[in-house]
Amino acid sequence: MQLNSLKELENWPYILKVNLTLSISFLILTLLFIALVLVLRIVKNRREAYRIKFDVKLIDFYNHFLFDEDFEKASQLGDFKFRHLKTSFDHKLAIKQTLIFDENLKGESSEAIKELFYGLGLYAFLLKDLKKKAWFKQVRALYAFSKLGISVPQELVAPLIKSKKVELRQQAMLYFLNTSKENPLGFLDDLDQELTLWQQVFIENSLKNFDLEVPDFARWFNHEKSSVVVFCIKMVVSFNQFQNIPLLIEALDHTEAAVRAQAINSLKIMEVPDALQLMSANFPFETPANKRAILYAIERIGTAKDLRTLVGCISKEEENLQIDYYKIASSFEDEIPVQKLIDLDTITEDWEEYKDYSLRLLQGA
Amino acid sequence: MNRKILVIEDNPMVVKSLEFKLKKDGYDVVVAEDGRTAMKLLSEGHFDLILTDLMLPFISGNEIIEFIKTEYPNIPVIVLSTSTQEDIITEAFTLGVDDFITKPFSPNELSLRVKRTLAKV
Amino acid sequence: MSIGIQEIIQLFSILFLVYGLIIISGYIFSAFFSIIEIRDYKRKNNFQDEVALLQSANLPSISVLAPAYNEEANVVENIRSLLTLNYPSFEIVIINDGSKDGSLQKMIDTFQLEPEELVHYHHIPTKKVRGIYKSKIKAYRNLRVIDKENGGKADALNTGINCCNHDLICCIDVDCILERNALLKLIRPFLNDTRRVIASGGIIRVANNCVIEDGRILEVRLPGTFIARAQILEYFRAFLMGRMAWSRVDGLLLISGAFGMFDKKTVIEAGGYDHTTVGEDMELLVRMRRIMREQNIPYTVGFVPDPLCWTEVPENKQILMRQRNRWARGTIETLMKHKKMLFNPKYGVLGLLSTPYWMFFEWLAPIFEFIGILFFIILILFGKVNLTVFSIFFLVIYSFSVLFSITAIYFEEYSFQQYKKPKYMFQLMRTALLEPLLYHPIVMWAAVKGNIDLLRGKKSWGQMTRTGLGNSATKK
Repeated sequence: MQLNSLKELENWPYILKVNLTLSISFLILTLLFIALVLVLRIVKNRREAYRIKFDVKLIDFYNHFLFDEDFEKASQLGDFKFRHLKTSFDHKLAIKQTLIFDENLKGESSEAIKELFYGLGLYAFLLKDLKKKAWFKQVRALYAFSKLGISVPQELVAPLIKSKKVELRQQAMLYFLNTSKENPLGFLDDLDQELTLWQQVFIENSLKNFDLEVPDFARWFNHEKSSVVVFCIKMVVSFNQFQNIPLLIEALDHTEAAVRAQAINSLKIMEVPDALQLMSANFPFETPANKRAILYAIERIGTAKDLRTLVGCISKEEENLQIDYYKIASSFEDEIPVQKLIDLDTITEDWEEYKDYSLRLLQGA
Repeated sequence: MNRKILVIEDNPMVVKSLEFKLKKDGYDVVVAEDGRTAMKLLSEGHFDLILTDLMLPFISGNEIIEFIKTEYPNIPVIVLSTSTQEDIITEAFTLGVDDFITKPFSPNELSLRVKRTLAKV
Repeated sequence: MSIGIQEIIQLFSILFLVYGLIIISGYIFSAFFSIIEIRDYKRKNNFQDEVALLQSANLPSISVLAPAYNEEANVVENIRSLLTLNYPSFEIVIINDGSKDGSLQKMIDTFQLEPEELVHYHHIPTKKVRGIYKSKIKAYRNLRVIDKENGGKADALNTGINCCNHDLICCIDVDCILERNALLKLIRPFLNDTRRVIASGGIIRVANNCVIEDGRILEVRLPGTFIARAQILEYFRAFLMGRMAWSRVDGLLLISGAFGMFDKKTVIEAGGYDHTTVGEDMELLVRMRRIMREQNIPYTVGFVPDPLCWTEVPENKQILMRQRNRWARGTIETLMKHKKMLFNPKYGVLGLLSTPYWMFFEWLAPIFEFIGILFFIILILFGKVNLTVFSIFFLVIYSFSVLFSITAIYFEEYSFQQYKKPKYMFQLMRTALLEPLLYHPIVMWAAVKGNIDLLRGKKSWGQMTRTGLGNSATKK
C-alpha cells in the first residue's frame, strides 16, 4: 500500500512533491526558530545576570571614586579599566552608569564624573562610535556627549545637523545646545527643516537646565521655517521675555495661521490685554481654529464687552463658535443673561435673535 | 549610637550613593524601594530622619509623606525629587516636609542639609 | 467518473498551491518588515528621557474617551487607575452609554460628581446627552462623566468626541489596563512627524491570569487555559508580526478599539465612528486614510509596539465565537463599504496591498479553508483519497501554522520578552503545536458563521460577559 502510493506520487506532477518539500522546509525552519528562541533566551539571561553583577561593581567603584577621600584615584582608575572594561558591552554599561550618575548628582561630583568618563576610556570608545557609519551608534555617542556636556571636534558633528535621519539631526541639535558656551540656539540659523514637537520639547528642556543666559528668541521671529517661529513664540512665554510682547502682537498679522495661533495663545498666557484690539480686528478673517482661540483669549484676559463686540462676526452657520461663545458668555455670567435666550439643541436657530439682543446691549452699554 | 535614616528611593544608583555617603557621615542607613516597604519598616523600628523620592511604585511620595506626618509627626522628612515644578514643591511643604532637594543633587550639600535638619530636632 | 474526480483533485491541488504561495509570501513579507521595524524602534528608543517630556508644559493635551455600558462591577476601580496615568495634561471622559445597572450612581457617589451645564459641540450627530458631570473634589478635576441614551459603542465614542475639550483623543475600553506611561508612549508618533499624524495605535496584550493590583500589572503570567494561551499566540502574530510590518510600509488599516489615539479634527472631518457597522474601529481608520488620500494631504499613522495596554480575552468558547463572528462581520462590512479602494492604484499601498491583504487573509481565508476541508471530507467519504496524499496535505498546512506561531514567539523574545519564566516559553511552544488542531478550527468556524450571519442580515454585537479583572492579589 505504502509503496503503491509512493509510486503514485511519482505520477503526480510536482504538486505532492512540492508540498512535501515545503513541509520539510517548514519543519526545519520551525526547529531553527525554536533553537533561536532558546539561544536568545539564554544569551539575554546571561547578559542580564552579568549586567546586574557588573553594575554593582561599577556603582561601588564610582562611589569610592566620588566620595572616598582616601581613595587612590589615578591608580585605581587604571586598575579598574584594565581588569573590568574589556568588551564593548562593558563599555556600554559603564557609559550608561556614568549618565545615571551625572543625571542625579551635581556640584563637585560633576567634575569627578567627567574625570571617570575620560579615565575609563569611555570618551575614546564613543568617539570611535561617532566616526562610524551606523546612525544609531552616532546617535548614542552624541547623546552621551551632549548629556555630559563634553565637546568633541566640531567637524565631526557639524554635518550631522543636516542629516536625513531625524534622530541624528535632533541629537546633533541637543549636542550643540548643551556644549555651547554662548548662543546655544545658534544652530537654528542654519536649520533647513521644520522642527518637530518632540525636538521642541527637548530643546526647551535643555534650555531650562542651561547655566548660561538664555538667548533672546526674537532673533528667529523671521525664520523661514514656521515651526521655528512657533517654537520661539512659545519660548517667549516659557522664559518670561516680556520685552518681546510688542513683537508677539505683530505676529498676530503673520502670514502663517499656525504662527498666529501660537501668538494668540502666548499673549493669552502672558495676559496682555493690549493685544485684544488687534485680535478682535482680525477675528472676521481668521481660520475657525484661530477664531476659537481668540474667543478663549478674551475669556482669560478680556471683558464681557470685548466678547460682545465679536458677536456680530459669528454667522448663523458657525455653530461651533456659537457654542464657544455661549460657554464664554456663561463664564462672564452675571453680565450676559444667555441661558434664557438660547436653546442649546437648536442654537443656530436662535442665533440671529441672540445676536440682535447682544448688539442692542452693546450699544446701550 | 548612630542616628538612623530611612531612605525611600527606587533608583539603585541613587540608593547606593546615598547609602555610601551617609554611612561615611556616620549614620545608619535603611533602604526601602517602595512606599509599602517603607511603611512596614516604620512600624518595626525607630528612625531619626526620612529621605524620600516622590515618584515611587505603588504609593505616591505625597501619600507616604501624609502618612508619616500623621503617624510619626516627630520624624523629619526630606524630599529628594527630580521635580522642579513649583506646585509640586509647594504641595510637599504644605504636607509638612522639612526640606526639599532637587535632583541632580550635590552629595555634599545633601549631607549638610541632613545634618542641619537633624540638629533642629 | 473516476477521471472527472481526478481532474477536480488536480485543479484543487493547483488552487491550493497558488493560495499557499500567496499565504507564504504574506508571511515572509510580514516577518521581514516587522523585524526591521522592531529593530529600528528599539534603536530609536534606546535612551528614553521621559522626565523631559513629563515636565514640559508644551505637550498637546489629550482627552481619554472610555465608553461604559453596564460596568458597575469595575467602573470605579478602572477610573481610579486611569486617573493615575503619567501625563502632564489630560482629561478622562467616561461615557455612560445608557447603562441599565447602577454605574452612573456609583460614579456620582464615589467621585462626588455634580452636574455641569449641558453645553457641547455637535460635530457628529449622536443620541441625546442626558447630563455632563464633574467632580467637586480637586483631586478628580481631570474626570468628566457623560450620561447619554444608549446607542452602542460607536455612538458613545462620538458623544465623547462632541463633549471633550482637547484636540487629541485616546479611545480605550474602560476595563483595559494601561501602563502608567501609555499616553506618553502613544503620543510619540504625533510629536515626531512634521506631517499630519492622524492616528497612532498600540499593541494589545492578554491580561488573563496576570497579577494585577490597583489597576497595574505586577507580574506577567501565562493564562491557565489553552484557549487564552492560543489567543496570546494569535495576538503575537497579529501585532508583533502583522501590524508592525504594516506600519513599516505605512499600510496599517486597523487600530484596535481597545487602545488608539486619534487627531480629533480628522476624525470629525471623516464623520466620526460609524454606528451601523460592528467593526467601527477598523472602519474609522480606513475612512480617515481614504479621505486624506482623496484630498491629497500628506499624513501618516503611527504604531507603538511597547506593551502598553492589557485586556482580558474570552476564555469561554461561546463568547470567543461570538467575538470572532463579530470581527468577521466588521471586516466584511468595512471592505464592502470601501470596495472602491480594492486594487485601486490611486490609493497606493492601501489599495494595492492592505485592502487586498485583508480580503484574502482576513475575509476569504477561513472560507477557502472551510471549503477545502469540506472537499476533503467528501473525497474521503467517496474513498477517492489515500492516506499518503491526505497526510502530505495535512502536514504542509500544519507545519506552516506551527512555523508561523514559533516565529511570532521568536519576535516576542527578541523584542519585549514579557513572559520571563522558562516554563512559560515551553508552554507557549506546546500551545503552538496544538493550536492549529484544537483552537484554529473554532475561530475559523466562527468567521464562516459570521459570513453566514451577515448574509442573513444580523447586526447585533453579541454579549461579552467578563470574569472581571479585579485585584488578583486578593484572590491568590
